[in-house]
Amino acid sequence: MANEIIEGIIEALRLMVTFDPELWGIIEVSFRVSLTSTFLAALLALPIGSFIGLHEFRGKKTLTNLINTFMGFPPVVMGLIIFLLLSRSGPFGSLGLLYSTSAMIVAQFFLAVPIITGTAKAAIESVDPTLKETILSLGANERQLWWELIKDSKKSIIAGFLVAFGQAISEVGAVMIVGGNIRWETRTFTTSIVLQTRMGEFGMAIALGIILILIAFIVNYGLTHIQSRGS
Amino acid sequence: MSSKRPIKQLLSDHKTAILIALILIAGGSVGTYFVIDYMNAQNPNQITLATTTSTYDSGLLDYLIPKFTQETGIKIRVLSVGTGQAIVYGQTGDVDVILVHSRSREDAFVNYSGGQVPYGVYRTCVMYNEFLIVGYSSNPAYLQPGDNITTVMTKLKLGMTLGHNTTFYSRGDSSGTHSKELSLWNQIGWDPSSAGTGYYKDVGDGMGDTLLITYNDANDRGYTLVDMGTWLSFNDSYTSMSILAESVEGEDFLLNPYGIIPVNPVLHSHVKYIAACRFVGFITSPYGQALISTYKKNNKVLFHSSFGTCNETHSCTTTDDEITIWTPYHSEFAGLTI
Amino acid sequence: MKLLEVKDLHKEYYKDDKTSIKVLSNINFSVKKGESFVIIGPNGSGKTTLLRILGLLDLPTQGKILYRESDLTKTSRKEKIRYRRELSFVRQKPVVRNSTVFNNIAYGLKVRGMKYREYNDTVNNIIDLVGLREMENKNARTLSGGEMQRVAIAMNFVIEPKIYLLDEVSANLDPMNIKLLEEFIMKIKQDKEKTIIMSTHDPIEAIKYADRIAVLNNGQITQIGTPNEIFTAPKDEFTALFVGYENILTGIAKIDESSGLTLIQVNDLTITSSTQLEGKVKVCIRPESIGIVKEPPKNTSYRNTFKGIIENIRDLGNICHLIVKTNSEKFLITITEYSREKLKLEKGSEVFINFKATDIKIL
Repeated sequence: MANEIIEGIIEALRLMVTFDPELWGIIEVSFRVSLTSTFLAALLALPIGSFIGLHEFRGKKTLTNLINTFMGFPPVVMGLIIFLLLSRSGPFGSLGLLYSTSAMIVAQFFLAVPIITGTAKAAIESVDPTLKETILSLGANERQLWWELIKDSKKSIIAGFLVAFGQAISEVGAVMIVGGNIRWETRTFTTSIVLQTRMGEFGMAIALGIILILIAFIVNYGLTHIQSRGS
Repeated sequence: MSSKRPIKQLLSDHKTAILIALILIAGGSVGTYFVIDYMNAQNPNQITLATTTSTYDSGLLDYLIPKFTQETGIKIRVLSVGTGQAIVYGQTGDVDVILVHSRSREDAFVNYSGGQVPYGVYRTCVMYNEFLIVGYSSNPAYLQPGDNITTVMTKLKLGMTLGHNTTFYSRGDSSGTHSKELSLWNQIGWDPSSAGTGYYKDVGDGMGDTLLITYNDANDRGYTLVDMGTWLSFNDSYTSMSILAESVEGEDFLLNPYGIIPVNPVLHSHVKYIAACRFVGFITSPYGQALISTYKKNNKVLFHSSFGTCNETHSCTTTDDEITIWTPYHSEFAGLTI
Repeated sequence: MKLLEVKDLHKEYYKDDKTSIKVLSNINFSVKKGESFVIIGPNGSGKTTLLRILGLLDLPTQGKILYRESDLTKTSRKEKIRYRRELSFVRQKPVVRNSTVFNNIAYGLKVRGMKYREYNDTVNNIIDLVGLREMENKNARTLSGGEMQRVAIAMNFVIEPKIYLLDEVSANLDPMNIKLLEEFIMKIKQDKEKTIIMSTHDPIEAIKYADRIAVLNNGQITQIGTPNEIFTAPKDEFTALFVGYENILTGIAKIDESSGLTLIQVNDLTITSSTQLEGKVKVCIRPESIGIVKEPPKNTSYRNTFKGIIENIRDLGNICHLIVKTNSEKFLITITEYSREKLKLEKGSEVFINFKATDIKIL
């Protein structure tokens, strides 16, 4: 078995150094899907999360509970749900979007939204209340207050984005189910590693594994860097 | 004097406008991808094919399909899933054509029984490959080359029940391989699960993993049924294992025929029936069939072409319809050589 | 003309276990336009809460705040914002945004819709006024406490509101900054269009700035009046202490029919007062009102004379605090250092203290 691994590592280096097009295709799909879904999720979830964090209202506790529960929503289950919705026998089947990157983006989007909502809400809530009062007393209206609080808690908010992105790029179940792991089209790092391992083609799998670890490292570096600058 | 350079101040003053512009640009670029995917879904020259993992993993389709695309401009997206899943996708119309190796289920797919509209139309034979029984070279069940299938299965049964020196690993999923394995036990009329979980194990996993688990059998006495393609991918790693039973002359129990079926456009009006048919035409044409029988993995030929000749090579029955219906589609690929 | 009127205001905080803490009860007062209204009270009396409620940073549990005919507690969000734009609130401990000093000071003007070209000059002026020119591009959060308070003052005063809410703003300031603050406040005080509502625990400051003083004790207003009224006629012990009646004794008062004066028995001392009162009372005397001599005084204009021994002397520059112990009571007396030297008063000296009957305040 050791032989296979060494051959695999050599193959991995070859793929990376020669800019193998299939490898690049996989990188492109993975990044496009994860970045798009995280970005769209942020667009929706940041305003909602910060709004919830800013205001007190009846049922806020229950809502918070709900958000926290969904943060840990199992990705494969989401994959299954989106699959059932987009399949031809499902309500949105006529769009024909199953097995496309669009379907993968949709699945990851719904997984990222609770994460970003929860972290944005927590970030806004953790801002010093006297700062909030000072800004209000200077005459800020709601939008101006919201913007200032976002700026003050932006480190935590960005951390939330990184967490959501990290989860998206290393997720395998949902994108496999709704994407179909189609060569050149819907293969990501993770789904490709599953396939290559199953086929015994360790070269590509190891190459992708190395890159994935690198990405995880960079994301985590970013997170710790932000947190250390925070205080 | 002031603490902001004019440019920065300009940006700050028009913060809202800039933000909205950025969101529109980002949204626009994202939106175009959705539109592209949607357009692709409507594109009649793009079809989706569902096949089994062992078929796909052999690499045959990645070899064949680019040549098809080159000739016809039709793009094929391949979904590699379990046999059961592939058939369900055909039933729901999520794919345009299926390529599987489970004759009974293929027949059910195209049957008119009970007055229902069939899921697929014009099933045809394409090729077959071989199953092997592999195990440790120590071969405790004492399988000999040339043993016919009854002898092989009986020897295994004895090893699992009386001799207690054999463990058989089953796929345990609803894959084509698993159905084949069950049909083999059926030949000797014995239910292997009666040997108990010490000697008959349901892996519930893919072929590669099943092989690995067999290889890791604690007492070096594992046996399993594997298709030639998967075996060739892994046999270099499993040096203490070898082929202990393969297809014997005159017997076809260990042969594995493949059928291809376009999904019925009457049932699902959106399927790209014409493009799917052209692919079937390609794969059954002399050119396509030649490509299949010369495809090699690890220097061994994996598949044998069988269009129209299924019942000569083994007991998979070809119908006359198959030849009649599909021959006209071959003209597109006439004159092509490897 | 009444600018702001507070009616029957209550504020309670509810804890998780359903119990509540009453922070303010039965608050009633009004503030005139152009007035400087000072609220004094001990720590924890609710001054900050009251000011925050006046600034609409918090809502009362009960009660009304009338401003220009409308009840602020019941207005729409938009009107609340409009109201807040007419005031500024300076806290005891300054809080600044994570931005440069310039941007912090400019913020109030920015949210009111002013563009850079418009506010640039005003902000620069005030930066010079508070002496922060060298630091205008520094991040405000990296400043020292005193510098940050100057930023807070600047950012609140630059918007020139109609109402200034100041919460113990000089509490943490060094003398130089206090002087700076004084200049600002005095200028505003003179402007009859601007109203000041401030809280403080410094009686000198209260006298300096106030047109009227309200005493807030334990969440309730015990007295409202001009500085003079508060200082000459404090209504309770806290107020008395606050305004400088350091000597407060408890005793029983009885009116003497023959002289028409009140005799108050405080343990073994009998104190004579010109105020007519009976029953259990508190006697308050200012340290400056008590005279001290070495020989028994011959002048009988002081109806109260007691013998005592100097227990302690505290030297404060050119003023001296003496603690004199009579049999049962201790008195705090303030005299100049010069007098002490002249009288040769030392620890343990036997002295006679005296004070007029009219210098006593009875509560």
